[in-house]
Amino acid sequence: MLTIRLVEDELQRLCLTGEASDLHFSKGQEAISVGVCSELRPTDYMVTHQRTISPAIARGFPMNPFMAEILGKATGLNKGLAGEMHIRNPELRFMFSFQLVGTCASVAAGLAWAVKYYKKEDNIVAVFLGDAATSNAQFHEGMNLAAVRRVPLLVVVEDNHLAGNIRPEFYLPAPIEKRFESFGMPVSKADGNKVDKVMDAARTCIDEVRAKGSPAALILDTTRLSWHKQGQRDVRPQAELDVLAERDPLLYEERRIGIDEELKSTLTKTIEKEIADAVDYARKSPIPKMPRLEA
Amino acid sequence: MAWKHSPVIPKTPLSVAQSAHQKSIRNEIHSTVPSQALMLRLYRNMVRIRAFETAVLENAKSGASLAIHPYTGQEAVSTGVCSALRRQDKVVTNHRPFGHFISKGGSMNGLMAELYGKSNGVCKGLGGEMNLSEPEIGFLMSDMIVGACITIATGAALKEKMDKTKNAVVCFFGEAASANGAFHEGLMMASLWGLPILYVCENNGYSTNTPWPEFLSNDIVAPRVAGYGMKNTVVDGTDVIGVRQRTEEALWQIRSGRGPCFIEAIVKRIGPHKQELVDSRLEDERRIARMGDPLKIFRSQLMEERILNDSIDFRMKAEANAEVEEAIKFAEKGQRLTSEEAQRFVYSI
Repeated sequence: MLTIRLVEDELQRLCLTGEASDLHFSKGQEAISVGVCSELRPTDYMVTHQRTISPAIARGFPMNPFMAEILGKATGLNKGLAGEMHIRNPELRFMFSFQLVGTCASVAAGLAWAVKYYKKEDNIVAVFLGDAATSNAQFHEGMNLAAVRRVPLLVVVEDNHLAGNIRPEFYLPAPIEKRFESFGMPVSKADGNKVDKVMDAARTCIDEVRAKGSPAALILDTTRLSWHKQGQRDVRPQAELDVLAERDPLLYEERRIGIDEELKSTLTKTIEKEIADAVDYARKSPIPKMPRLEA
Repeated sequence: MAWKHSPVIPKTPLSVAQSAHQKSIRNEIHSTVPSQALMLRLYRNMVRIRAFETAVLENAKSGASLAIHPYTGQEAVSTGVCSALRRQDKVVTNHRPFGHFISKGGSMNGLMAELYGKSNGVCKGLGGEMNLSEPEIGFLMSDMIVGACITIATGAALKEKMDKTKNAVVCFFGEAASANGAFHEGLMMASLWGLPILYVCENNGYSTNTPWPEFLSNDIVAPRVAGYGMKNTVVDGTDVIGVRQRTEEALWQIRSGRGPCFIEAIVKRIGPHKQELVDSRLEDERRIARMGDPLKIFRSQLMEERILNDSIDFRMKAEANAEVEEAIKFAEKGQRLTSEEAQRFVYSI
């Protein structure tokens, strides 16, 4: 979590200097990616939304190619062509990430179908999506298919109560869990800002999905402490942000494990050095050659 | 003060009881109990739809008109719903539109000519079976793309709300359309914005020849609608009076600005999905579907209550057949559009 936070801080600085494009940060939502990814097997598959930095690092992406990819360099994981919102790493079974809200749900349902019926593995597919994505048509089609075909799909909803800068009363007519219940999917809820709670809930859900081979949903209540994306100003009042800042998952985890300042500063230094190396590596890398498009 | 003996006989206890009964239910129930005359009108409408479809199915065999998606077995739904509507209410339907069109008050002549592809049809013979439109009677359009009618109807309801009219929009679709994403987005927007729309799902359990477990997670759609915070009811789609009463209640809610409603009518499709298409259901299942024929059921109910007798029944059927024959003559008289004329209606290429 500390790594994610530090990487994001560094990238935010790069955004401001213009080296990185406008990124979607997951500040305040790190506990979800860390908690769920720690419970997944290395052979399980992942599909995510547009906020990829946090799940990617939680999944254990190598730092250098990852940083180069985000900065759009040829040495990146996807040759610098995917950028932040389409990054993928099939070796880590981090299969797809999607910029289009809700698209990940139907793709993940298809992936889970393939895993169960064609590959016949006992791996599961975990899909991360936001609460606003549940209002999308593709979510509906994906969930219907997953429920009908009984595929091993874990839907992790990062419920940050925002769609861009829009409040849920403008995009959610009823609670999210009702949507899953209407497809006959079991729903569990947890506080998404407490990594231990996330891990407990994720473990139960993942075991259930793996055992039954049928879909389940995990709704994690969280807070978005950053802007929706760099370059899109937050319209929430400062007072509200101050209240939300007290629910910072990093703060909670530090208090919980009682980390001492010395260890924290050592860790911070190590990680910062790693990040600095990665940024250097990315800066030295060439920009990708444009592939010639032929008609 | 002199006490005066009143010669007037006091109200009979029965009428007192009846008026008290009426008063007590007035605030709770927003549907009416149909009179004999209304029930006969409903029956007549169902007979007309059946007569029209029987004739069209025959014509299509000889190649005179297009093959159709028969509505046989689902007549009670469109009859019940549309009988509760006003003329200025709007209807948007799916690829099976004849029942809805006739129930909404569309002319059989125009419809038949449309199927014959003649210029005196409702869409000048260009729309055919699945793209009907007759705005004068409030039949906005029918859309052959499964699920597409839901979002279109939602847009029409948004217009009614923005214009501050008291009109309602009714959208008919099948249960297979509820697996489509348009269903999700349409219902969600209607619920969020409190639009004056009534969704009527005609659940016949089949998508063409695919039974529901292949494409739906549960056999009825209504529980899923609860996830949008929308009022929903399930009704037997062969019971025309039940459908009408549920519709009246829903329309009361819609017109009083309490947001959209959802009615699911459970029906059985008697015919195949589309004429000339193989019906892969077992014979037993088709027999059960025929036994649930709403026309037969309603007829026997009316007969039993002595509202209908053989002579009225015979006369109604004869009238309906005469109307259909006249429609066929009307259609045969019409001319096809020439290609130059047809191009006048093309807005962009």
